[in-house]
Amino acid sequence: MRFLRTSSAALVVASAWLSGCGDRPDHWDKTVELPVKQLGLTGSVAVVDPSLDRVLMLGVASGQNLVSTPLGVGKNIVTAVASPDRGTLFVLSRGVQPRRNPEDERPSLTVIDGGLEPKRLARYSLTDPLQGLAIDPEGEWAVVFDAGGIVVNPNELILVNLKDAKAEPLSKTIRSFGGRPERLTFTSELAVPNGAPRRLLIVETGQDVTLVDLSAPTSDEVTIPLPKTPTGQPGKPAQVDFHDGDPDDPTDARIAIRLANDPNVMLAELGTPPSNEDKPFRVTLNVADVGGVPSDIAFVQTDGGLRLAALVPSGYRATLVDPSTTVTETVAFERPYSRLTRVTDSVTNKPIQSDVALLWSNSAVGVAFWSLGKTSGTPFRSVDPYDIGISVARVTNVPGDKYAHLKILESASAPEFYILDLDKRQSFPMLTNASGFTLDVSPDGERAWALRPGTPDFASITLSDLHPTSLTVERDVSAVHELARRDGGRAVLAIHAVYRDGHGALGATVLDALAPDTAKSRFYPGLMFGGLR
Amino acid sequence: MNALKTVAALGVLGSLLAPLGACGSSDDSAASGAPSDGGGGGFPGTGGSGAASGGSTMSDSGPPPPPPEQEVESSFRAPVTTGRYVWSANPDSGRVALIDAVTLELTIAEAGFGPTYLAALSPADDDDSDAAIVLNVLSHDATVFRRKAGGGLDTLTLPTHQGANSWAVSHDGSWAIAWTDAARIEKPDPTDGFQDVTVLSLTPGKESSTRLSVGYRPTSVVIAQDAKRAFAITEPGISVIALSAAPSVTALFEVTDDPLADPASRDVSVTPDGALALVRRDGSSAVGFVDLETGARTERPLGGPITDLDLHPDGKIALAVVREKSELWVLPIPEAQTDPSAGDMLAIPTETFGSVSASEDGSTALLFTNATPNDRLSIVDLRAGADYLTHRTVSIKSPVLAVFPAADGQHALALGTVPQSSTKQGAFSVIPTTKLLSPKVVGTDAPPVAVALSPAPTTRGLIAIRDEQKKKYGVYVARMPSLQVDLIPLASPPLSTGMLPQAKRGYVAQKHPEGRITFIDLEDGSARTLTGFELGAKVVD
Repeated sequence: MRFLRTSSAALVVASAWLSGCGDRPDHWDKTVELPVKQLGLTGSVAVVDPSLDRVLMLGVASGQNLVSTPLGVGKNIVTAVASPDRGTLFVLSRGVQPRRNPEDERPSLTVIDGGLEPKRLARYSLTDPLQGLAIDPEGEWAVVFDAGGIVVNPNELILVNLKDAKAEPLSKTIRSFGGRPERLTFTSELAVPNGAPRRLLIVETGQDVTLVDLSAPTSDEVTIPLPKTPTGQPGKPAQVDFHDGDPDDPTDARIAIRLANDPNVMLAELGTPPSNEDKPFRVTLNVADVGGVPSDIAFVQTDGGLRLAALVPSGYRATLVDPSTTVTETVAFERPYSRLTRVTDSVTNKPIQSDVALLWSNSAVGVAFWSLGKTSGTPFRSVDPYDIGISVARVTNVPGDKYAHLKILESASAPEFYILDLDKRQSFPMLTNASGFTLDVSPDGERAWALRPGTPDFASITLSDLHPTSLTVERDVSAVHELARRDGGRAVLAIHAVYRDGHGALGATVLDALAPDTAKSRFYPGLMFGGLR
Repeated sequence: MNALKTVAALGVLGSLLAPLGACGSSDDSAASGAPSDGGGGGFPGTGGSGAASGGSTMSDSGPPPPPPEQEVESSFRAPVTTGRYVWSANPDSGRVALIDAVTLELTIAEAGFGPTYLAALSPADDDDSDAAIVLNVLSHDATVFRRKAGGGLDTLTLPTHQGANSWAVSHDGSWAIAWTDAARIEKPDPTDGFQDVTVLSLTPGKESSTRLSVGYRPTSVVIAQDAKRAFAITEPGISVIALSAAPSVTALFEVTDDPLADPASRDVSVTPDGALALVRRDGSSAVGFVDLETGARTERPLGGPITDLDLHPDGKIALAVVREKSELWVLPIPEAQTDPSAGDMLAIPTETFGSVSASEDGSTALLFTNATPNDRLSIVDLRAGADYLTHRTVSIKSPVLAVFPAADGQHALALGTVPQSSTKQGAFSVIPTTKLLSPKVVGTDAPPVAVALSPAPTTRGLIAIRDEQKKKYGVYVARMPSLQVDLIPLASPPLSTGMLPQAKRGYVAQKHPEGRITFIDLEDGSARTLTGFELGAKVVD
């Protein structure tokens, strides 16, 4: 630490002193509410500052030189979401509500480049203050939904074409039979019988599922009713998955719907419409009973063809459903695995025809590799359990291709986590000195960062050799973010949040991510004060 | 069990297993759980000696007579099918679904209020016409569906009387009669005669509805093959209905000397041409004949009390069993009505049998008893020639419950109850009937509840099993002549099974709130299940 080193108490004092000054814009007197939302992006860390209707984009120019770029967003920030690749930030604002003057700001969606040179890419003005934001993992669409006003249309979706910054957002009200959008899923491109392959937006409401054709968002959507539960209650979607089917067959794309508290899974096939209709597809439905309430579903490839795998932890098994016939086969497990992660693409030597899945559960110790090939008499090749000593609450992918074969397995309570090597089928325990830590994998996929929030201790784990480097800074840390430096290096920001006497303050310690050394770090106080120069 | 035989619908077989052998009856309506006040006694039946027939003569000495035979086969009713299509009604949604067994394509049409009882209207010999009719029990009308050549369904609604729950349909589909089967009514009041019937003329363009009144509590209604007359089998006798531009009831023919005698103690069968009715009465040693033109009655005495009487579908032959003497009588119709010497008798003194089932082609009869535990089954050759009335007896290793001969008489399926020592819940056997081969005996993990056999030449059989407590459901596919048997597990309780010869598929309809049916490819044995076809109708696009 060098000349900028100071104490958190000093931060608060400075803040209090500043708040007593007069003849300055009101926003200087606004307090910082903690916790402050931070999002780690590829080349910057976004700190959401609702008090000043802005986002502070923290970057590192070189060495430990922190650069702050404030970017104004709409008034009354509702939510901020990073794109899955952490390259873009989306900020949804309500604007001034209720609007009393024509100049009063409308709701908006602001799109910010999260790279080395943060800047506002686009700002879309919206007509209604909505609260929900769904981001297309392929970066083509953002959908704003979930109205919350005096008179609301909960079934209105605002579709924003992210590929065209000048495009007007499209308003679309989906049919309602009493439900309202709760969860949105963007499909990959699916082949359909009539017309070019297209992507769909799957909207789950409380009692049905709606398909919106993203190639023609204003065309009529398709509403899929759900079966009643065994108790006669209206069915409620709990999860969806999709699959394009045979690449050469445009009539076999399917969507699977898991239902809450229901042993049935629903299959919707995008089949050929009647000859007298010009619709791109016609949905035909089928329902398969998987023998118990499933906790997770996923389409998987087996040597016998595509199957929908449904995990039934109460039965210590999975059920494989042939989507074309709904014939089911069961696979017994030694443990009640409740979650399934398809890892086929993460394995260096990918199976040619069938998938490999990782089975895990928050309530059962261990994981298993499920090879979904087929041997005579069994619908799978093998289920290999691995005792790792913890139950797994979260499986984190490693970005990029280099270490994609590694998965980080976290427990909800254990003071350890595991790095699982899918290629070698080996798991490496990483012990921490206490439970309650958080893990974050760097955007470049080279390192993981472990932190116990509220303590000054954190550590990096180099994924190439699994070498941990423990670090202790002078102040308690609330979050750690690794980002690219503008000089080509990489930095890590340890964010400090302090709250005293009704005022919050934010500071950061900057270290070199490639060679983290507290002796070569720099502390920056007062990040929310209005910018660093 | 023949097409024109007077039988009442039974529940699923599972419900019959418990009372079997304890208090059965040879009369179908009684066996189906019909209330005793309509059946005329708390322990009706014929028995072999008459001891169980309405409590008439219970001997004070000697062993008690065996209980009456059970007409179990009638519980395995095939759902409504036409050609390659299955029709399914949903009383809750008011819709009828038409399912193409080959493509699984669904066509949904609106019916009336509470569509419940379906019947096929298509002539059996017309492969291109698909039509059905459904009774809408809450709007008291019927909806006629006809599949259009280009897809979709034409519909027509005609009024019916209130409370109709059964159909009789003419061979050519030009007439349908809605009637009320008291056996389907829980605890009917004695004053409920259910005498209304509604005659529907269904000739396209000339559709009409006529309400008529027949005798007290009809147990079946049949329409003669020429579709000129219909016959309602009722307690007092047979009501004759003239099917004309103005349908009317023209006569009531009594079937016994005492028309007020317990109607549950008799079986009445009508020949397809509508010329004769054959009557079997519990404890009676004679087959009764009723001339349906004049009402004249005659009797043909046999050697002892007749425990079963089966009229062949073509109406040319009737098979009667005298359990007391282990006799099978083959009676030519109509000769046996007037010629006391007409017919042949086969006695197999070493065997006990009280029931007979004959193949559709009339080549084979199978003799068995389910009145007492007996695992033996006698196969009788009915083909003309040197082997006529020759027989052999096989054991299926579990007491016979029901027997289903294949249409071509080459094989039969027999269902069995399991002995106490067995760990199985049910059993069935596939029996080669014309070749001297051993039956294939299969134990099942759940009781069989439905059976279907493909038409001649019969190469496949389906046996559905169901145990709701243990949640074990499935359907066995039996291949003939190889006798290979494979189980296909089902996810929900099977209700019925049937065959769609045009589609080369069999199917199992299952209990599911959204409708579920599994189609089985009869060639490769693969299965496809369609669930939620009512949901499909609700997709909005």
